[in-house]
Amino acid sequence: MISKEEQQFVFDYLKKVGVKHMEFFEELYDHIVTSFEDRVDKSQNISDHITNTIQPAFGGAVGIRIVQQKQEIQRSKMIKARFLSLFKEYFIGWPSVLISITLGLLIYLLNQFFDPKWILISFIVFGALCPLITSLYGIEKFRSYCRRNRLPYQLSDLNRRIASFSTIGVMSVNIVLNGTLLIASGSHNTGINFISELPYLQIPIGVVFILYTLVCVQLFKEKFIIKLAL
Amino acid sequence: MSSSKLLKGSLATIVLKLLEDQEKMYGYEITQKVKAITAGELSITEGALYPTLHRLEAEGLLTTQTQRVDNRVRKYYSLTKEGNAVAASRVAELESFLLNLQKVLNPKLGLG
Repeated sequence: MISKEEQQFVFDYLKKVGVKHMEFFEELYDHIVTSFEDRVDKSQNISDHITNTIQPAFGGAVGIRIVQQKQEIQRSKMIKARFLSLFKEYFIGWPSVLISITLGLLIYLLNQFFDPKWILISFIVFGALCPLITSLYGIEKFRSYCRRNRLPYQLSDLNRRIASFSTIGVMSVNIVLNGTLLIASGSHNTGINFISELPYLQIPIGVVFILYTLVCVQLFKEKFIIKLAL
Repeated sequence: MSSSKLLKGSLATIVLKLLEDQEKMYGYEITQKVKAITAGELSITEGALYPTLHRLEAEGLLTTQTQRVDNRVRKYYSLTKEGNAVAASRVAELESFLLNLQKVLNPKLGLG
């Protein structure tokens, strides 16, 4: 077991080299402490151990940052792959495809009773904002959990990567509306009016936004870390 | 060429093989195991090991579980079902490569 001072030294060192996310912080902290406890020369202090053993093995502070960056890239790829596979499920997977069909029929039916423009706005706003608000709430909840438990970090890279997917909806609103405005609609019209007049565009766009919310919610349920399991 | 450069290309296979034999291991344990098996002749640098572990995890070949040890969190890696299958094929591939390499380096062995 290491002393409180040695523990604090490792915490400070990790922060100094830029390790700020829970995942790599925990792993590297355990690595350093296990290596220190396992050292041959028991008279060696933690500072010398980090300088002489840990840093060279990682290729210095720069090496540690590179390992962290590579992990972040791998994590992004992993979440992206899961995001796409969940999305694909709603188009070709059984029985998930039934949800897409039901949503399409629901929009079609709602169009008969309400203004298609407001139906589209409702679906887009709900689809774009729901994942964003959920992810921001999750990040804040994790942060307050870390603060309450006085953990040496306040961020989870996994949460941050998932949250970045929840901004796609908001960005898509801009692209969908302004894109259509520029490409297809005249200056007298707005993107939302243009799409609302064409059911073959309005229904799929509404469905896609809701499916996007469902995929994000599924991702949150599977991977989002609100508090540590340990 | 140093042995660490030769090792780099086969690091993923070594990790898969160790986990096939050991069920679950953590990063530091893997480096020490390789040192112990080779009597210190080969040593895996952490700067190469962790990116390999993270990549294999992202590819779905490894899964992780955490455990609290001495008031800290330890991350254990183990093979997934897919990882088990890949481990066997990668080890066989490396063994056949080494055999052929040996034949090239020492043709007399190949003739026997």
